[in-house]
Amino acid sequence: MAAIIEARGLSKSYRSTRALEDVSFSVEPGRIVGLIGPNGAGKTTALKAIVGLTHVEGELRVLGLNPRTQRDQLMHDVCFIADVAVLPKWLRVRHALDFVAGVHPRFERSRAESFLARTSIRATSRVRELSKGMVTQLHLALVLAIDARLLVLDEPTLGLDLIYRRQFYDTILNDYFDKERTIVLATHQVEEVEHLLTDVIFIGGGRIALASSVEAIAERYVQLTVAPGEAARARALHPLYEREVFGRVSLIFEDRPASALAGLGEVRAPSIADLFIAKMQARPPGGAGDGR
Amino acid sequence: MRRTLILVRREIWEHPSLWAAPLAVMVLMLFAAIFGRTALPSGRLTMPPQMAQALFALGVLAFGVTQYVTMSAVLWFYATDCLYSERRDRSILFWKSMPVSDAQTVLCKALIALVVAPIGVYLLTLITSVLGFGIWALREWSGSIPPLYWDTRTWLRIEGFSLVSLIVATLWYAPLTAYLMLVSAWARRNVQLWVILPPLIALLVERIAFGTHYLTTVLLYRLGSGWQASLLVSTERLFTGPGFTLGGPGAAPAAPFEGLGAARAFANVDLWIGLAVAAVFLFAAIRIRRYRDDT
Repeated sequence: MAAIIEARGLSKSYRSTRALEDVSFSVEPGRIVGLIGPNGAGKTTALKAIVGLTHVEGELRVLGLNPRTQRDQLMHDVCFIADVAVLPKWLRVRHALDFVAGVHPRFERSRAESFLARTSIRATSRVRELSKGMVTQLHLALVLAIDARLLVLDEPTLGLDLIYRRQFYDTILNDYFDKERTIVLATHQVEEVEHLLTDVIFIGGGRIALASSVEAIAERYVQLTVAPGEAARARALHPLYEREVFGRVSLIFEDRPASALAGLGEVRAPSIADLFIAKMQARPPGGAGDGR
Repeated sequence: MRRTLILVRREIWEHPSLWAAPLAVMVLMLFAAIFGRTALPSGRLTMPPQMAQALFALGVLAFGVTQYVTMSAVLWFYATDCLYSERRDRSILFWKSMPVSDAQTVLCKALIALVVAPIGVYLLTLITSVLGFGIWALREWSGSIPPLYWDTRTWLRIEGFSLVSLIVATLWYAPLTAYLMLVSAWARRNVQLWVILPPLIALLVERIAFGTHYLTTVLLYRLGSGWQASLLVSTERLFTGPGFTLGGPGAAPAAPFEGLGAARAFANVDLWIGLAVAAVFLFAAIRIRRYRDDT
């Protein structure tokens, strides 16, 4: 099947800062891709380019369309949730449903209503009367009732408490995601999403530090935990990153077979969060800045 | 059609002043009809028919003019806000996540200012004048106020004149409406200031650099009542038809749309130039909403 998103050599500058620098990646259908990077890394610019909201240099096709020039057509198949607070304050819940039902041919109102019925949101409330978490639930209800092929989420749970954040991702995973759909989500809160991603793209300072499927990560990266006495021997094998945890040293290696390390200590696949920190701090050649 | 309807409704949800202000004016005027007093002595008055007719016509006009002035103010703020507020509260990111093109969005907002609001207010004016005079007639029947002359033909005549004036004026001021929308789409803040500033600077530059005031003339002509000139309405022509003398025997008002000069108003090339300019402004507003980067 053709790639959902095909990006080659994307670049973008805002006055003096480079938001994206020669970024290339592709997203296959049926994947959940995490665009992970520190604040100001270029995540939002990349997502805005995908939904045609900003102009970037380079070649970008989304669902086979040019998002900048064929935006109106693209938005039939793409849903986009920016940061939580973009639903207008004056909008009533009932009217929000009316509106999306009126303009979106793929919106199934009953689906949104049944989702809302499980929350404490009332149809007559205005957005300004809802809590931040409820506004996100409302937005999610609207978006999940749209039968879209690609869902783009930009820091969707920013500023929400833990319960709402958990609910948000659980809902997306359980009620929405299937093999027909593709999700691209940007976040800097890695721990939150790592269990649901199939692919990760680490981005820092406008450059891609790593683009890989989660399975491939387990093959390429190894986390070794050793007693401090063994640390010097482990260091000799050129770890990507190391840190000390509870008196033991934890090191992350790239492209080193686990069998070569097993003798030194405890070996396992690194978590995405640990790998992210390792990659961001290791600064591979030509690699990421700190994105600020 | 369904889509246009929902986009129109969305504008009305966001800008409740579009209906609340005209409705408030209507309620105020009905209050005036209920509780108002006149300096005229109560009881039957004998008044020359043409004077009664003129008084009645003025009453009908008063109902209308109050509404139209209110509408102008409401639409000024609507046009300057409609493309700015969505950027101020960032809800543009939500609207733009829906499959609605920028042209549809902007044209629908123009539709509100140029068609929906004027027609709505006009209909409200019709209702207000009928209700107002109805209330007055009830009070008259109870004997508390002097009688009022109701004349359907005069009423139709005034409302016909109002309708033609409203249409011509709305089209005449369309470039202003479109200009306000353009500034609304473009300004990062202080929309009202940016509305005034560019023409003001242009006027001053012209005056200082060339010592002319051509631009001033053009703007005054456009903002002034240039449209009325072509309508050719004099008081006399308004109240009487051709062949009538005011107050003559059997004096009757002309048919609603007779001799108002509507055809002449539409033949005025300035009206069409204005509409072309309005189209350019709207096109620019669409392009700005479409291609601006920092949504």
